Amino acid sequence: MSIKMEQGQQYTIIRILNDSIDALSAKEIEQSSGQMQQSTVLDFERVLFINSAGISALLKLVIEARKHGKQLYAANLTAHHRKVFEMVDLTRYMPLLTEEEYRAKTGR
Amino acid sequence: MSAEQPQLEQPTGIVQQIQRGKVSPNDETSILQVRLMIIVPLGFVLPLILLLLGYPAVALAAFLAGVALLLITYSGVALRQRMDTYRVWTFYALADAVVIWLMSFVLGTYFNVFLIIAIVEVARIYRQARLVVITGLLVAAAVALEGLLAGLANAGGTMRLPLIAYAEQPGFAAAAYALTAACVGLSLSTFIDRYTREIISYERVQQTNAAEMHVAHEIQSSLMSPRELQTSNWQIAAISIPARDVGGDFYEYIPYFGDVNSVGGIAIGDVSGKGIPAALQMAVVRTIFRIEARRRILPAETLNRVNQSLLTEMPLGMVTLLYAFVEPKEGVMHFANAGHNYPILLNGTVRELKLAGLPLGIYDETEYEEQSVPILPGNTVIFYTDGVVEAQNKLGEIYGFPRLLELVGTLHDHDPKGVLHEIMDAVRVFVGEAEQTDDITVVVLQHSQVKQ
Repeated sequence: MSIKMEQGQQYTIIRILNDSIDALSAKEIEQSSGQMQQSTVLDFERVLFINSAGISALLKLVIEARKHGKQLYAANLTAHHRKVFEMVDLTRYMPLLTEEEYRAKTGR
Repeated sequence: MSAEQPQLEQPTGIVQQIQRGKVSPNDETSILQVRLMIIVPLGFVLPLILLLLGYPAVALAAFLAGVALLLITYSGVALRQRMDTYRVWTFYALADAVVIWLMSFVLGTYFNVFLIIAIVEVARIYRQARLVVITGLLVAAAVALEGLLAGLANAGGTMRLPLIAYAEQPGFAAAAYALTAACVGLSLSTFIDRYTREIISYERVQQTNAAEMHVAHEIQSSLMSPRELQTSNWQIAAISIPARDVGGDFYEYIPYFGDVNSVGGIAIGDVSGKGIPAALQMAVVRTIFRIEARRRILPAETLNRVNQSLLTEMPLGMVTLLYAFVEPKEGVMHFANAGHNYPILLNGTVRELKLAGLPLGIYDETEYEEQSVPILPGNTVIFYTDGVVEAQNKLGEIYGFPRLLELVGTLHDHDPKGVLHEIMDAVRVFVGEAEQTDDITVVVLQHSQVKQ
């Protein structure tokens, strides 16, 4: 498994354990969407690389999640990926959390 | 009309089998040749010599081994009609192993060491460690059984195996070594023959692939817009270097209202993925884009239409595409962005033209926004794909946005070709000896200074 799922009171936290996200690892996140709560945080702390197939899969995932009334958030992104997420408009569908917001939302 | 058609002779036998794909003519010829070259001297010439030397029992054993190997060979050929190649090779390996084991009753238990060859062959065919263990256990059981039989024969006297008794006779060792060498030669040559043919076949496939990829590269390069374009006071320089022979990056110029000598639309795109799949998708995207871009000039509207078409025609994949349209006389650039890297404007300062948008092929309800920016004489716009900022060095570090922005800040006085060279050189130096992992494309547009 390249992800670890933690269920909180109000949030699901999905920690991505790989240092890179491609179509396969994004698929694994997608497969866990059934267990996501209304609000879910994707924690990218360990992620150093995201290829275009990974971006594509993440975009489809967050748009699909939104259609089902779920809201995803991204936390602990590198500066490079914050910019990439912004350019592909991923942040519109999956807002970025600052460290403080992450702690406040998840109680960590 | 009933013209008499010439009757084609229906293929039979081996030809029919080849056509059904069950037999490869090369395999068939090679396997027979190699095995017969070993079996004939082993099973028919050697027994004659042994007989003449006065060892009838050993001669009989060698003859029987030869007959057995011949039967195995032709059984394998027959089995190829019903089995795939891997299974037939396994059959050869195991059957040869049994013959080697039986021969050890004549030549002594040390002969069993050559069963390793058969084990290695089986393991290599299937590339499975589990098979090695299973076969190893089977061999160990066989050796144990043989030891038990030999022990009983020597201890009891009544069950004495007749061939073992020959071990004490003069001249036996020479015959035993000859048989050993022949059996090992058979197994090894079968192994080497298969291995060699695999290599030759692999090299042929590689050569064919390389030739085809070269042609594909030439075709893709010829489809790209020219690397330089110069009109009265606008210049463009572009470069696209795929990570493999072909790639998913592209750039395109659209003439200004049909005037091929004037700058109009400039597009830069990146299909997700690399190599042939990306190149095929890129060809589809470019075709759709060209059709839509020639129908209307507004970049946002063009991207909306391309997105709809892509979701219908190419449901898989994602494409980032930035489309800018220049009004050359007014010095204005209108642009829309489908998830591509922000263009960089050099106008005395360094400014990213920040306009975000979903990539194409993701969401059918996307409506792209459009922005306009003045491009004054002396201003330069740099378009690039993610291969520039995500170029990696051997330490795994990426070139990144900050380095690129810092570099282009020093290029205000360069012409488009100079800007292009500086960027490519900087990326090349940064990457060093590391492999290029993504396609790299850069397009530089410049509104030339009006000459006084």
